Amino acid sequence: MDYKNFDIEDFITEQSFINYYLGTNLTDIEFWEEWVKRNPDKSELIIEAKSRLDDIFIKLPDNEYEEEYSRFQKSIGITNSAPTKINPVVRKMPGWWSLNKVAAVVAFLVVCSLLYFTRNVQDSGKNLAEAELSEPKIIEKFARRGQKNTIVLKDGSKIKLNSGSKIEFPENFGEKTREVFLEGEAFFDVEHDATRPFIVNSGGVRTKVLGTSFNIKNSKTHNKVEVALVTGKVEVFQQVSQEKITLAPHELLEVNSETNRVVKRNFEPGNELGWKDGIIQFKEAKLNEIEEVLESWYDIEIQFKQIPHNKGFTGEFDNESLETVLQGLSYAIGFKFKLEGNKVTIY
Amino acid sequence: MYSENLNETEDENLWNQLRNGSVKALDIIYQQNYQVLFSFGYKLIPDKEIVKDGIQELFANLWNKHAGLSQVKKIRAYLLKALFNALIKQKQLNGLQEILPDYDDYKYLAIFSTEHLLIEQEKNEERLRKLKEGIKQLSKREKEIIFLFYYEGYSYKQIEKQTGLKYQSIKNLMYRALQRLKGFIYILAFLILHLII
Repeated sequence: MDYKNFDIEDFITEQSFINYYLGTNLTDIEFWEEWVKRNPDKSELIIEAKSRLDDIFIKLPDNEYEEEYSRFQKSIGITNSAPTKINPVVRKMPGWWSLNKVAAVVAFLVVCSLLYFTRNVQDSGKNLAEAELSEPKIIEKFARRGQKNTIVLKDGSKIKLNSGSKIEFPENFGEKTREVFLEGEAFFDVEHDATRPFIVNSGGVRTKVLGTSFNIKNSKTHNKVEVALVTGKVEVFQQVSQEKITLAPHELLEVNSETNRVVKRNFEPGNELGWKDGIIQFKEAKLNEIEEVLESWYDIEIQFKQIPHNKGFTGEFDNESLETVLQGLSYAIGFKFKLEGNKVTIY
Repeated sequence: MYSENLNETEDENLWNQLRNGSVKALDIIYQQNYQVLFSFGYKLIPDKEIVKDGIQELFANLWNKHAGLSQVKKIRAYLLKALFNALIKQKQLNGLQEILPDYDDYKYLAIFSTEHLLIEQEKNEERLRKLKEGIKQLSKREKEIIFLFYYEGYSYKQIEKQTGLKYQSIKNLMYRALQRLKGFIYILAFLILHLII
């Protein structure tokens, strides 16, 4: 079947896709994971299809599922720690064929590795030189002001870039690490790979993870980098002070890039990460913060003819138009505004 | 043209292996059904721990009583019903439910329950109202098909057999139903975020 012409409705009514989404059938999981990797242009469609399925299902998060699964295994006395993979038992494949296939694959691998090994021995010096000469190609992705952008990396990790942010990463990750460079704010959902840590470099702070989801915000106007962890575990290195801090879920680390001061606190994910669902949140926000957020979110310029008195605004706007947001703010803070094209005048 | 990995003979085979005491069969059944069971259970009782324990107990029971299990054609349908009965009993014990509703009357309603939203998201009354409206607009047929397809894991062929409808009308009904629920994604996205956290 040609899934390339599939529309969102086609995906969410396709049984194998649902099995992949639910994680209930290994064959389907493998098929779709491969398909998603091969069709990076479809990644946004796939993400949207999955979120449409979230209308119908409420899944238990992966980490909790793993806990439940090992509890189940213990309760029935399965002692091996490695999970038995979902195995389509019913697949009837004549024994000789699968044996033959295995043998063929093994033979192929042996030949390949022999070839590789002998070649390597012969011209290992030359290879090294070549490897050093060929610079890895760096890819840059942006979310322009007024936009957000979701990127799926080759390893399956997802990055949602907030407005006015940029991320750089090599076309192919190295063998030891997966490094990316961030300016601005992004939410990361990192595919687990114990052999290759995922490292985000941002404003002199290195955040290292194996597989987890977290948010990083690097604000130049506030001279600070914030790392907020949702699930899993991350290690944060402050490069100047060489300090290393481990975060647990719900913990947020604030690094001041001027003073190098580091503060760890708990956070309310509903409050800090709303941006990725289109929710603008303010918590006792001063005017300059409101200005910065709105300018980037809606791609506008705000001019103050008069500075309104604002003690700190708290509130949220869920997928609202600029006009609605301005109206809400103008009532709450007490100002008048004029909206012309992408220019807003406050008076 | 669509995968048939939940068809009846496969299910019957797997179930018979379990009845013969195969741990592996139980393990496969667990992995193939867990997320759907959780989803269904959570819509009945929006309390993660209760649902987790309920499923845990369900599988422990299956294992302890495997020799005495009767034949089953559709494993997932069987498990959903068993979980339903266990959770409803619990609700009754806790004084939250007075009469025991019948699974067949209740199942379509259950997956469109908005009770969990009420608990997670008190302040978003407006959103909740919208979701409820969307759900109200779904016909009984649409709910039935969504339940058969998404929850019980019926293939289109099996739904054709069950409902007497043609493949194309089933797809059409499903599209329309999903379209109605479309506007409400963000509520659930919010909810999922809550769940993860």
